[in-house]
Amino acid sequence: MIHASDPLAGPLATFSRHQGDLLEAGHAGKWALVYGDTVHGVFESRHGGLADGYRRFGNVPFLVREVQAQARPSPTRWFADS
Amino acid sequence: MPILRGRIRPEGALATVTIGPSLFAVESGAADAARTIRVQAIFDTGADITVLQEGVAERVGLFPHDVIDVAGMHGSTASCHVYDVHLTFPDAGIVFPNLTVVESRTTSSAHGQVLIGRSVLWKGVFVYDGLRHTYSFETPDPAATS
Repeated sequence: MIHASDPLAGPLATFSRHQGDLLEAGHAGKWALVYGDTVHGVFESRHGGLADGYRRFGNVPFLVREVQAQARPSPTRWFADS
Repeated sequence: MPILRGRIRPEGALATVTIGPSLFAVESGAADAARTIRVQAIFDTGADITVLQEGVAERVGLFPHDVIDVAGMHGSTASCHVYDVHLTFPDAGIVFPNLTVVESRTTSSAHGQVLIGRSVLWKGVFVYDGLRHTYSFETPDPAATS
């Protein structure tokens, strides 16, 4: 669960609002670059979105997330001492 | 081919790594490579991805670019920030210029500030020799693709 004060809370909410439109536009499997309340582009790879995000916005919190029908991917496993 | 060799300690296979802003961030002028820090890491073949202990990303001046759910050993799941870093094994000259990692908010390790997971290991050959208490990690190219 992401807290409202999280630096990505805004971009995550923006992504959720636009996810359906991105899917309808045929962007499934591509990567959306979100900063603030705007989707600034769609890229073939995550690296493409990151590079463009740094160029446009600098070293700030921005979101680069894959466009997919599933809301969240399966949890990544991490078997550290906990 | 660069190769890292080390001894297996009672805590596990430890190594020194450097963590800094990703090459994307530095090349765009958004971040300063001088903020790179040296920390101790431990190889963790059970981890899908590489994990930073809480506070490491802040020391380097990094900001997150996604959130994913990470499941721990006991089945608990936590949302973790995703970062992109420049990770090196300086003793061997192995470089991951744009490596995706997550930050742990809930767990700390006394033995390493970075858990080296399979997101790194699948880029090379990791040999864990329990009989001789040694390990090695070899990559085909100094700048491993990440």
